Amino acid sequence: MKADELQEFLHAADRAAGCPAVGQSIAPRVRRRAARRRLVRRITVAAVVPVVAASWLALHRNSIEAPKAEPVAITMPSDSVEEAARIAQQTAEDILRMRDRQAETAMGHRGDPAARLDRELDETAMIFLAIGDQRVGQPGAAAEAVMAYRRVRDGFAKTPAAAIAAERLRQLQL
Amino acid sequence: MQSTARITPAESQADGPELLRRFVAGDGAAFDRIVAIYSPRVAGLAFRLLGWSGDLDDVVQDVFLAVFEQAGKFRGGSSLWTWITAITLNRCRVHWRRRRLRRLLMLRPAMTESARAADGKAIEDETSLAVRAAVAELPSRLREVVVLYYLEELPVAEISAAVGASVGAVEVRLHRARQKLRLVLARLIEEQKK
Repeated sequence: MKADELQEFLHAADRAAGCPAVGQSIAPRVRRRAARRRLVRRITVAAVVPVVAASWLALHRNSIEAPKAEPVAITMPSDSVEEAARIAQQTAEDILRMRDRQAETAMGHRGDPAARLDRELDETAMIFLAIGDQRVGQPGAAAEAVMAYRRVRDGFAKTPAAAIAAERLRQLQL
Repeated sequence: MQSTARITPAESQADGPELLRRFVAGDGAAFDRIVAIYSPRVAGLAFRLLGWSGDLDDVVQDVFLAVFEQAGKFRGGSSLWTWITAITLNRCRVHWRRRRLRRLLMLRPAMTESARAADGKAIEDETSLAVRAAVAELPSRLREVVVLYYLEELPVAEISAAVGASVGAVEVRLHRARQKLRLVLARLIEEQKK
């Protein structure tokens, strides 16, 4: 078959099929469809965007890490040191009273009050000394340690802990 | 073919690009003119691409909806008709696929050429029916180039721009389409020769 023959066949068949007919008012109908599509697009975006955003947040919530805090040197103010010392002293006194009661109960008689007072003072001074030792090892808490040592040296001068506190103060001042 | 606006003798498809420019600039009436000028050709092309049948109203509306929404994308690299032809090809492919799917799902019985002839709406000779059936049976890519080359009589360069393929690829498709049509139509030609 030659190309001309094929073309002839095709044109004849096309002519025989007739002219297509389409409806009227194409342009207004196209405009209405375009307006509807714009509206649907807006509604879809308005509906989808929050859902997508919520999904994204839900997916990434676990992977969001809190910012790492810089190390901060926490120093206890002097009022707090005083309060801590007061509480420690109170606790020590309570412990000593409890032990004394236990000892008295065991011995069946009350001990010498003067000896008991000395013992209580010794133990309280040791507690303050321990507080000073704890503070001196902490960065930025040297002033609190000095305060605790001075309290032992001046307030419990007759106890063995006072000599130790004085020695510690000397070392710190050096 | 009925159009939405009367075309004055002075108007032709040469005015298309200018009308499209005016439409993009906000002149709504220019779109009406574009539809009036091009809708007969779009309908004819779609009619042939869909195997001389189908819902032309839907296809023509789809084509001009695309023109309406994408007018700003026309860069003038090809003629306006080539651009509209490319849109029509795309829309016809979609409609063709939908139609085939419907037939596969038995949602709508196929309206064959012989059935159309039988219902009295299109009484045609057997040769024309066979030719159209042979073209309709071609794969989409081949059917498109046959319609554009032989019936729309577009040059190969314009066909290549419309289908988005090289000139060589279009020529190869034309060659393959001719071979297939020759095989199918050989019997008819022999009968005619006798």
